[in-house]
This record gives sequence, C-alpha cells and structure tokens, in this order.
Amino acid sequence: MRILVVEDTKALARSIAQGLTEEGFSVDVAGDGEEGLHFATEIAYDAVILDRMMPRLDGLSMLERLRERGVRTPVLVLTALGELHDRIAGLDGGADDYLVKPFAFDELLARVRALLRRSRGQARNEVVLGRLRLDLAARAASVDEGPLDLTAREFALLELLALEPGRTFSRSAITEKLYDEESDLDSNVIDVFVARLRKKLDVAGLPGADVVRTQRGAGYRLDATAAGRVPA
Amino acid sequence: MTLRSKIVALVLGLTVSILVGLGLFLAGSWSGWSREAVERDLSERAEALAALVEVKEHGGFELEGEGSPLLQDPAHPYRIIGPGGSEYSSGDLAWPPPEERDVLVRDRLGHAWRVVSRFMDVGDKERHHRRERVRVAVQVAGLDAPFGALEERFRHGLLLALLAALVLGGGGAALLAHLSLAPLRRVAAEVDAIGASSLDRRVGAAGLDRELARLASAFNDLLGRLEDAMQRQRALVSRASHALRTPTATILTRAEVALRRERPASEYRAALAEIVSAAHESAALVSHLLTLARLDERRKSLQLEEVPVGEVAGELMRLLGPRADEAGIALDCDVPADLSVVAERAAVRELLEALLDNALQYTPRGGRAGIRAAAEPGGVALRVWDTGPGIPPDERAHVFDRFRRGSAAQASGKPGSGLGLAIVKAIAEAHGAGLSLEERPGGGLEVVVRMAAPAAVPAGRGSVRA
Repeated sequence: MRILVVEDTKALARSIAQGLTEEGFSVDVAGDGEEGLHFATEIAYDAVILDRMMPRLDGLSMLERLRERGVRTPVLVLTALGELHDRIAGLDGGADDYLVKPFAFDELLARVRALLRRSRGQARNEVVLGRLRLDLAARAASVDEGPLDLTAREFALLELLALEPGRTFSRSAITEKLYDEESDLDSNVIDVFVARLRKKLDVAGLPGADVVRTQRGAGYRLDATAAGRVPA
Repeated sequence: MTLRSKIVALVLGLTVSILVGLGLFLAGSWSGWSREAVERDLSERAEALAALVEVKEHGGFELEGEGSPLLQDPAHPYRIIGPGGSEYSSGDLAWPPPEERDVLVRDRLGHAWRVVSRFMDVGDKERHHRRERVRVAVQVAGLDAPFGALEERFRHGLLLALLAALVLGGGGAALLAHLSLAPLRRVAAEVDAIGASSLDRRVGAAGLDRELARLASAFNDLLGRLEDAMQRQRALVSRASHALRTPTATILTRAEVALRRERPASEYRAALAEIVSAAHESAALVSHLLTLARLDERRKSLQLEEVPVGEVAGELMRLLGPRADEAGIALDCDVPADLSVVAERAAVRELLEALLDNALQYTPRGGRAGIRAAAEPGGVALRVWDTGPGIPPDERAHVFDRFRRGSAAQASGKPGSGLGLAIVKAIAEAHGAGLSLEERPGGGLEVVVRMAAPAAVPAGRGSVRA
C-alpha cells in the first residue's frame, strides 16, 4: 500500500512517514501543496494524508484541484484547526476523513486502514482465501491458524495480491505500490520477494508456486483455489 | 424618568401652559375692556348729572329734572359737591375725595364700587348772560364687575377646558408616546437579539422614520465594526491554536512512533533531539503569545523613562554574541554613548532582541548583522540590520502581522512562530514609534524604529531640580 504524506512541518512529516513505513506502507512525503498535487496526480496512491495549512497551496485548495483532475484517492485531512466549521469545510471540500492535531499515532493508523478498507468496499480488516488468512490491522498472515513469519515487505506483497485475487499485477505495478520514490530498485527485486514468499508458503503447507502464480510476460497473481487446496 | 413619561409630561405641560396663558390673556383683556366700559359709562353719567346741576347764590345748588332716571338709579349712586362745599349724595358709599379721579371703594356688604370723579364747569343760570361758569365736582359710582356672572361662567369654562385638556391631553400624550416609541422598541428588540454569535445580523431600517433609520444605521455600522474585530480575533485565535498544535503534534507523533518498537539507542537519541527542538519551538511560541497578550493589555500604562540605547544594545550583544558566533555571523554595534530614547526600558530591550533574533535566524553563515542608532530631527532612529535574504516588497506590508512568516522564513525551514515582528510592532505602537523596513544597499534587511528623544533642556539630572 502506498501512501502520500503532504505536510509542511518536516519533523512531523518524517515521524508519520517512519511510523507508516514501519507498518509496512510505502510512503512519500511532500512538503507543500504544489508538490503534493504533483505527486498525487502522477502516482496512484492508496491514500493521501494531507495537512490543511501549508505554504504555497493549502490543503483544501490542493484537494479541490486533485478532485477536479478526477483523482479519487481517499484523503485524510490533518489539521490544527479543530473547530466544527473547519471540519465541515474539510469534509465538504472532498476529504474522506478528518483528524485534528495533535493526534495519537494509533488513531491515524486506524483511520488510514479504515479509509483503505472503505475504498475497497471491505467491511473488516481481514482477508480469508481458503486456508490463507491475512489480518490487515495486525499485519500478520496465517495458514490454518499457524502464523506465517513474513517481513513487512513480504506481507505487503501478499496483501496487494490477496486484496484482488485473480488480478495480475505487473512487476512495475507491484514496485509502485511497495516502494516509495526514494528507493533504489534492482529490476528483479520483486522476483526475489516472490521467491521468498513462495518458500514461506511451502513451509506452511501451501503450494507456494500455485498460490502466487507467474503469468509469463505479465506478472504475478494470486490463485484463491490453490490457497484452499489441502496437500495430498 | 422614562422617555415615555417625559413625553407625556412635556405634552401635558405644554397644553396646560398654553391654556393657562390663553386664559390669563383673555381675563386680562376682559377686565381691561370691562373697566373701560364701566368708566366710559360712569363718565357719561357724570356729564349727564353735571348738566342737571343748577348753581344757586352763595355756592349752593339744585338738581333739575326731577324724576330723571339718572337721579333715582340705585345701581349708580352719585355725589355732587357744589362750589361752596355743599354736597348731595345718593346711597351711603364711603366716598373718596373728588381729587382722586378713579378709585375703587367697598361698601358694607363687601361689593367693590368704581368711583369716577369729575370736576365740571356748570353754567350759572341766573347770570347766564354773563357767561360765568362755576366748578362742581361730580362723582358717580357703579359696581366694578357688572359682567360678574359672565366672568364666572368664563372662569368655569376655562377650568373645565383645563381639566379636559389634562385628561384628553394625558391620554393622547401617552398614546403618542406609545406610538412614537414603538419603532424604537422594535429596534431595541432587534439589537437585543443580536449576540456574539450572530454579529452578521443587521437591524432592519425598512419602515423607520429618518431619525430612527439613522440610529439603525449607526447600530449597523457598529455591528459591522464589531464583526470585523471579532473575525480578526477569531482568525488570530485559530492561528494561535494552529501554531500551538503543530509542535505538539510533532512531539507526540515523534514520541509515539519511536516507542512503537525496540530500537537502537541512536534512533531514540535522534527522536529525542527532534522532540526537544519541537518543545523549544512551542515554548518560544507560548512565551511570544504571552508577551503579546501583556503588551496588548498594558498598552496604556507604560513606565516611560530615559533609556540609554548604548547600554541596552551592549547587553544584547553580550546575550546574543555566543549564538551569533555559533551561527557564523559577525555582530556589530554602532550606538553613540550619550544617546537616549524615552521609552520603557524592558520594552526597548524586547524590541531590539526580537529584531536581532530575527536577523540571526535568517542571515546565512558568514553574514553580518547589527544595531545602529543615531539622533535624527524629531527623535532617535534605531536600526537593526542584517545581510540576510531581506523581504520582497510585496510581502513588506504584512510582515508585522501576527503569525505571518515571510516566504524566505518559510523556505528556510527554520522553526519560527511568526510572532517576533508582531511583538516589535506592538511595542512600537505602544510607544507611538514609527516602524519601517528599508532596503540595504548591499542586500539584506534593515528595520528602522523611530522613537522619541528626551527633551533637550536638562543638561544633567541634578540640574533639573529647582
């Protein structure tokens, strides 16, 4: 899941980015509204965390332009203006949620997850595909109640595929969701991750190569029926 | 006393005094006229009586025309005094001496009689041919108030009219007051209904008379000014809240994220360093806000004294020297030793410190900053200058606004409350000092504060005493 943080207070932006990264999101930071608008238009983020008062282009104006350009990415507006009419203005301006500074980081996380869930039309923070179960809030996966020991990136990869089983993701699409702008990527880094993920699935008793299938020349997809199969 | 009772009292007072005035005037002209009529009547009677007098030898006289109604009229008694002193009178009035031409006398019943006395030359019939004439005094009296009943009715009528005027006028005045005060009550009710949260409402002027429409528009102007002031205040509070919440959010988020998992000590240290800097920022902000609040409150009660500028500048050089060294900025102080301004010492210090702080904040390493002061016609100019990025002309009008940070300040990424220059402005305003930004020839900013110089007369403090 890739998230954009638009916040002019650098120390705060860094902290949010670090916290989100450690939760398995890939995060980009923009320091003002114009930069944020540019990022949000160029890259298909899963969510945007947007500060309201910023130099150059303030949060609400940026949001307005973003919506004008047809970008539907869910947006959580962060604000130091806590008054009711400010919150209403924010929500009316196209924000999907509103959080008043200072906030508890856990609440920010919970709200971001809720936003992502809502944008996928999902009711719970849980994905179950056959014997494979993903707890999106705890960032943990298990097979038949037996926990899978995945790194944050591996979980993010599995999550991406599991949220839309059957859809084929190209390597570049996966890269875009899993890595932020600053990452220096080797072209086959995704293949390496897929190989590790399959091995861990094998250990847990699922046919790894069948669950995470290679579509030759196209990319990878998750096969839900294979995830339900019990090995002979 | 309410306006209504004032109006009623006024209308009643006017009505009564007009009626009383009219009554007095009518009574006065009435009595003048009736007196003239009586006098004329009595004079005519006196003349007619004189014509009846027949003078005899030795000063005696007789009255001719026996049976003439004049002689028998009890309503008009008369006295005639002949030339020899003999007299004849009808009725028993206490006659006044005939030299008094026109007097009032009272009879035993208390009635007032007007007495007209005339001296007449009467022809002596016996020596008629010699055309000799003799003086006779004729006095005729008549009741002074022949129109008494009429007068009484007139008085009663006037009294009744007065009573009616009191009752009708009182009621009418009350009604008038009620009607004319109704729009006033409406305006009052409308103004009453406007509270702190509905300052955008206005008093309706439709259907009001011109005077009240003016009142309504005066109220509306006042409301407009109040609303503006309130809006500015609200914007300020919301900015202050924003400015306070941001460093708090930074501290909280940094700490929470750091505590979410075990980390190497160096990461904790980095997090703590960021927390410390954000905490400093919020502490500075709070202290600036308090300074501003204090300045706003105390604006009218400054403790003015002669402040030696050099001394204050010297203190600041010592205070800020280490910070300037650390930032690689050369500090410079050029203030004549005997230069003073009339101001509050602490405020001058605060003002110069805020300006120097600003200069040190934004001047790049290797630059210079300083204080320069000089006497000018009409005061003293304090200048704080630096070789920093300066302020673009289009931003200058607003740099002294609260929470305003220039583009250079924002681009610098350095924390700042946006209150430093607002404090400078508040101090300058409290002292009635001029405040301006000037371009420096070599680039950079120069803030000029023009303060009052001490009166030039006293040479030394001791010599002032008489």
